[in-house]
Amino acid sequence: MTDNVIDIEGLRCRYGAFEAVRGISLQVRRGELFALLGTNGAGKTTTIEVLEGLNKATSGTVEVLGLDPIRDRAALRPRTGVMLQKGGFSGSLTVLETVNLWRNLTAGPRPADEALEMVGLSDKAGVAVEQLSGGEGRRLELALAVLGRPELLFLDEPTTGMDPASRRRTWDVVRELLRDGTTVLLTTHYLEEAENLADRVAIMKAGEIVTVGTPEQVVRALPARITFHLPAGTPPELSHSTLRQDGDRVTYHSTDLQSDLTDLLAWANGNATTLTDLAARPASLEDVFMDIATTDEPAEASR
Amino acid sequence: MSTQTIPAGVPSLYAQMATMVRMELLLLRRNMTATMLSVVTPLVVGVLLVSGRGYDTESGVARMSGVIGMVAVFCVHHHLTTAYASRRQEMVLKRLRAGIPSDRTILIGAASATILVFLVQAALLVAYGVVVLDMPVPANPLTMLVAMLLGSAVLAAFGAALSAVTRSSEAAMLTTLPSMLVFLMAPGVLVPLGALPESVERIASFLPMGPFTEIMRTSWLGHEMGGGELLGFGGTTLHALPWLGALVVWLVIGAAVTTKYFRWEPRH
Repeated sequence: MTDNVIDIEGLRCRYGAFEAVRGISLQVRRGELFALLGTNGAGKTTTIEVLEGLNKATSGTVEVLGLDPIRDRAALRPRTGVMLQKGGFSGSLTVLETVNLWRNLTAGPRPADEALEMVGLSDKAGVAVEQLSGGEGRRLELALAVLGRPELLFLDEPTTGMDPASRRRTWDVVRELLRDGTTVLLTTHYLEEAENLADRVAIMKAGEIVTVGTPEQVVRALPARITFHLPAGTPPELSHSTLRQDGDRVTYHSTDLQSDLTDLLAWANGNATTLTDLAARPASLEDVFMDIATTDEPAEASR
Repeated sequence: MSTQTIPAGVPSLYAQMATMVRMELLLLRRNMTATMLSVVTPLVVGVLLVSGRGYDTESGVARMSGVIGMVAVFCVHHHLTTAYASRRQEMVLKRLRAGIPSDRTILIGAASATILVFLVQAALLVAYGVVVLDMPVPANPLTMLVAMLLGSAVLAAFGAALSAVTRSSEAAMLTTLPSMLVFLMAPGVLVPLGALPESVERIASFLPMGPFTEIMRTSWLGHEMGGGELLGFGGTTLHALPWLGALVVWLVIGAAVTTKYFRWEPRH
C-alpha cells in the first residue's frame, strides 16, 4: 500500500454562488513533488488552502497525513510548512526579528542563522521586511515555511515575482528538501517550474483537474508540431498529421514527427518548393498548458 | 480521531501566548506614530480631564473611574480594531492560522498585549490620583483589577468583531465611531452620574462601561456613591459580584459575535 501523504476525493469548494473547485480527486505520495499547474482562477490556491486547513471544503473528503486538516489541526500543524501566495508578515519588523518570533511558534525549529543562510538572506537580517524586494520577501516566506523541518511542505506560487537567480536558488532549496525526504505540494503558473521540479503534475482549469501524470506522460498525449510558411500551392497530406492552414502559415500536428517530417521534406524537394521558417519540435508542457488554457476540451493522459 | 499525541517540541500554550504578546509589543514600539495616537494621547487627555480643581473625594474618584473607562475604550477597543484590521490586511492572521497557534491563541494573544498596556496606564492613573490629587488609596484593588481585566476583555472582543467590517487601519476611525460612542455613553464615563434623565440612565447603565465604572467607584472608595456604609474588603467584593456578572454576560456576547463574524483574511 502506497503511503499517500495527501488524499483528496471529490473536493468541491463554493464561495456563495461561485464554485471555485468542482469535484477534484488526487493523491500525493510520500517524498514526491506534486505540482498543481493552472492559470489564475483555476482553483489551485483554493485547493491548497483546503489542505492547509484554512478553507473548509463544501463537499468531498480531504486527508493530510491521514488526518483532517481542520479537525486534527493540533496534531497536523507541527508536521507541515506553509508558504502563502502572498504576505503573512508584518512589514515593520526586521527579518531576524520575524524569524526569531516565528521560531517560538514552531515545533523543533532550525537555528535562525541556518534558516536565513538556506535562502540567502543572511546579510538582510537587520532589514525591515517592508524594505525587502519582492523576491527577497518570498525567500523569507520560504525560510519560515521550512523553519520547522516539516514532513509536508505547501508552496503556493513560491517563485512568483522572483528574479531568475532567486528562482533557481529556490528550486535548489526545494530539491534539497526533497532529497531529505520532504513531500512537497506546489502550485504554480510557471510551466518551466513544473517541468523542472515536479515528479507529477495536475493541470487545473476552472476548478477541475483536466489532466494528471508525470510531465512526460502529460506531454506524450499531445502531438509534435511542424510549422512553416507556404507562399503558394497546397500543402500535402501527411499520414500521421492533422493539417491547419491560416493564410500562408501551415501547421501540422503530428503523432510521428520523424516520419511525417521526412515525407514533407521529400515532397518539398520533389516540387522544388521552399518551406519558409520551417520549424519542427516535440510537444512540451507549454503546449499542454496553452492547449488547455485556450480550449474547452480536456486532454486525456494516463493517470 | 479525537485523541492523537501532539508531536514533541511543540511550544507550550504559554510560550505561544508570550510570543504573540511580544510580537504586538514590538509592533507598538516600531510604529511610534500609531502608538502615540492610540496609547499616549488618551492617557494625557485623561490626566487633563481629572486635574481640575473643586472635586471632593467622591466626585474625584468617580471622575477618575470614568477617565480610566475612557482610556480603556480608546486604548483597548479602538486600538485593537485597528490592530486586527491591520494584521488581517498584511495576511499576518492568515499566516498565523496556517501555523501552530489555535484561533483562540491568536485572538487572545494579540489582545493580551493591548490589555497589558492598558493595565499599566490604569495603574499610572490611579497612582496619579492617590499621590497628586489626594485621592484615597483604593479600598479593594483586587476587585478593581478584575473589573479592569473583564472590562478590557469585553472591549477587546467587540474590537475583534468590529474589525471584521474594518477594511484597513484607516477605516477603523470610522467603524469604531458608533461603538466608541456606545461605550462612552454609559453614565459615569464621559457623562457624569445624574446628568441623564433617570429612565435613560437606568438603561444606559447596563452598557459594559456602566458596570465597570460602578465597580471601580465602589471598590476604590470602599462604599457606594452618596456615602453609604463602609463596606470593607468583603463588602465591596460582594457588591461587585452582580456587576462582574454583567461584564461576563457582555463578554460572552462579544465572544459569540466575534466567533461568528471574524474574518481571517480580507474579502476576495
